[in-house]
Parts: sequence; C-alpha cells; structure tokens
Amino acid sequence: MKILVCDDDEALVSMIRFKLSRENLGEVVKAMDGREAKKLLQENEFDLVITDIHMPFHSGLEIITFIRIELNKTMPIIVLSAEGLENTVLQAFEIGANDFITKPFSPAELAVRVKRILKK
Amino acid sequence: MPGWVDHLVKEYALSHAELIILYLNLVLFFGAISFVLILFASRVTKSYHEQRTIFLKEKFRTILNAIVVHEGIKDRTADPVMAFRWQELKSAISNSSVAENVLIHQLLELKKNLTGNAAQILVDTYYGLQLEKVSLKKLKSFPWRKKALGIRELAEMGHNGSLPFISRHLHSRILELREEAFMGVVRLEKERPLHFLDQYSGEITPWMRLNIYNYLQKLDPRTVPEFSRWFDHKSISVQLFSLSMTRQFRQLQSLPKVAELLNSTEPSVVRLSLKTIGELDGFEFRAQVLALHARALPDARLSRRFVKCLGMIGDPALDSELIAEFLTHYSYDVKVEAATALLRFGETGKKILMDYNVKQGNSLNALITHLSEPLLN
Repeated sequence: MKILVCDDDEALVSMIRFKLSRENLGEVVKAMDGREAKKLLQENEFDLVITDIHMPFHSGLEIITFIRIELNKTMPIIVLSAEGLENTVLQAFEIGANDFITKPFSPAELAVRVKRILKK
Repeated sequence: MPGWVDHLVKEYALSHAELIILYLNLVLFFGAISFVLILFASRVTKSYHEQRTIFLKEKFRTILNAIVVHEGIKDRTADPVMAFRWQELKSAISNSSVAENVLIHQLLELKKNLTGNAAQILVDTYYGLQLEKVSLKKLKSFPWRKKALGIRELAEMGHNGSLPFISRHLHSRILELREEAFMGVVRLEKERPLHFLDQYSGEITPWMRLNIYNYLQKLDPRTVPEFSRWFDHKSISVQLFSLSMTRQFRQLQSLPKVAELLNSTEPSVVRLSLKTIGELDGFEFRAQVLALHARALPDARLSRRFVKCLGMIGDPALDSELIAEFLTHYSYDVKVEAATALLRFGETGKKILMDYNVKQGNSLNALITHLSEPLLN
C-alpha cells in the first residue's frame, strides 16, 4: 500500500507517517504543499491520499478536484482539516472526498479510519 | 609611544600631523578587522544555533512520535517505555535552555493538532520533564515577548497554578501581552470560561474574539456561557464581544435581550444588535427594528444594517415600500443593501425595485445589473 500525506505542518506529517508505518499500513509519502502533492500524484500511483485543506500553492479541495477530474482516479481521499465548517465539509464530500477528519484529532482514530477505508 | 612608532617617526622624519593620520589609519584598520571578525563570528554562531535547532527538532520529533503512538498506555509515569523515552529526552536536553525551548515548541506544535490521549501524553511529558519551570521562568522575565511566550506555554499545557500570575497581565499596557493573558485565562478557567469578564474593563480585540471563538467551539457546548449576561457591561467592547458571540453560537434564547439593545445610545451596539437579530432570524422583533427607521435614515452605517436586517426578518408585503425609501439614500452602500433586501423578498420586492427604477428614470440600472451578476449570488 502506498499512502500520500499532504500537509504543510511538518511535525504533524511526521507523526502521521510514524503512526501509519507503525500500524503496517504501507509506505507513507509526504508532500509539504499542493504543488509537491500534484507532482507526486502525477508520477506515482497511490492507494490512499490524506490531505489538509489549507496548503501553499494548491488547497486540499484543488487536490481532490485534480485527482478526480484531471487524473480521473478513484483512490480514497481523507480530508484532514482544522476547518470543520459545514460548507467546507460538504464541498469536500461533493467533489469526491471519502472521509473528513477535523483537527485536532486522535492518531488512533486516524489509523482506524485508514484501515477501514483501505479494507473497502 | 611604542618603540616601532618611535622608529618610524625618526626613520621617515614624520611630522606631528602625519603621525596623527597614521594613528587614525591604524585605528580604522584594526576597527575594520575587528568588525569583520565580529560579523563572521556572529554568522558562525547563528549558523551553529540554526543547525543545532534543526538537529534538536529532528531528534525530539522522532522521540515525540514514538511517545504519541503509546497513547493507549494507562499509567504513564509507571510505564517503562515512557520512562525510557523521557530519559532519552532528558539526555537530549542536558540542561541546555535552547534544547528546552525547542522541545517545548515541538510539544506545542504537535499538541495543537491532537486530541484525547495523544494530546494528554504530550502534556504528561511536559510535566514529567518539569518543563513548566522553564515556562514559569519566562513569565517572570523582563522582556514582554518572553512573558507572552511563557503565558502561551503554560495556558496550552493547562498549568492552573499560574492563573494568578497570568491574570496580572490582563491590564498590561502592551496589547500583545494583554491578548495573550486574556487567552491564557480563558483557557485555564475551564469550568467557567470568561467569568473574569465581569471585572474586565479593557478592550477585546478582533484577535481575541477570533481565538476565543475558536477555543469555545471546541469545548463542551454546556460550558459555553450565555453571553447576554454581559449585555449591560460597562465596557462597550465587552458588550460588542457578547453580541458577536451570541450570534456566532446562535443563542436564540438571548434574542429578547438583544432587541433591548436596539435602544442603546452606542451606535456600534445598535448596529451589531441589528446584525444579530437578522442572522438569528428574529422575526418576532420586527416591530422593534422598524422603530429604528427615523434614527437610521441619516446615518449611513446604521441604515445599511437596518435595511439588511429588515431584508432578513421583514414582511415582503408590508416592508418593501419602506426599504425602497433607502434606494435614494445618499450612500451608495445603503442603496445596494436596499436593492439586495428587495431582491431577497422575491417577486414582491423585485417588482417594487423595478417600478422604483422606472420612476427614478432607470437610474438604478447599473446597480441592478451589478446585483444580477451570478458570481455575487
């Protein structure tokens, strides 16, 4: 399994990477901004994408649109954001997100959700 | 005079003036060399500190990640894995204040995104390593930036013992320190957040409002206070804050008290009351809003709010004509708001807007076209 984690918070990405690797959920690749995320998505095949909403260069919503429309891929996407506004959540789901986790979150809960989504 | 200078004077038969120039040149020469050396040394030191900070960050991050994944451990103080990790951190700190501060920063950075046991384990690490002593020292230091940093650290880590010290800065002359103290008190007063507002006489800045809102949003809704208790506060800033929070937390039970504030002598309070009534759909307070008509007309900012509020809670059949009056207001913003309110009323409002436009010789054409822009809706 190959998982892409896109977030500009280095400490958080490092923690998610550590947690998911520890749970043997596969190889975790990090992208620190939207541009890097797009580049990685174009060059690699991922089984799951975990993305923040607010990132430099391209937002998480743009990344979802990019995956679903430009790349035409169906891999699951989990949105991880501090912004729990109803509109943002709805918009994320409308454009193709599979799950939404609001920050602050529990790493254990994230791992469970990732496991469940990967099983499907 | 040093021997070599004496030799120079005799050898080249230097005059007094030449000697002074020579001295000056020497001073400048050595001054320049010293300056370059100091600059070089400071660059080297800075670079060393940066490298060390990066190294420490990486090191602490790895250890903290390993700590966080042990979120399931019940008794952390007795757990050998935790004891080992804490010992690892202690050795990495080794009494260095730079390392202590990097670690505190890392703890806070990680904690802000985590909740539950994972966040608690980081708090336990902070206290387990007695880092609160470092933060308390900052609180007692002279530079206000350091004090503010100490307040933030202690508040984030829930150090209740520091509450009296933090409260002292609530009336500080330095805005940033005051803001930090304010947020610190809000965070530490978990059971009764904001109760200190009863005695608070300072200003509540937009930064404070935003942060308090973000903080309260994450709390158990039962602990969010009813903000109407501060509607008659002596500070206008507190009154405005309470109104703003009433609206944001949609405390509908406070609407009758909000309607009473429409009689306030303070225009900013009246404006915000109108906004609150409008956004909380206070249809039953239409009469009180209408009573403001005469007061609102000469004041552009109040007119704008009045029209907007009426557009939200008004009766299309009864209030459209009244709103149409504002289409000839001296302020363009009020005209826009009036046209928007009429369009919000549906067919009735739209017809009145169009008729009024014809009566006014189509003078509102540009405004109507502007409002018809699909991107604006």
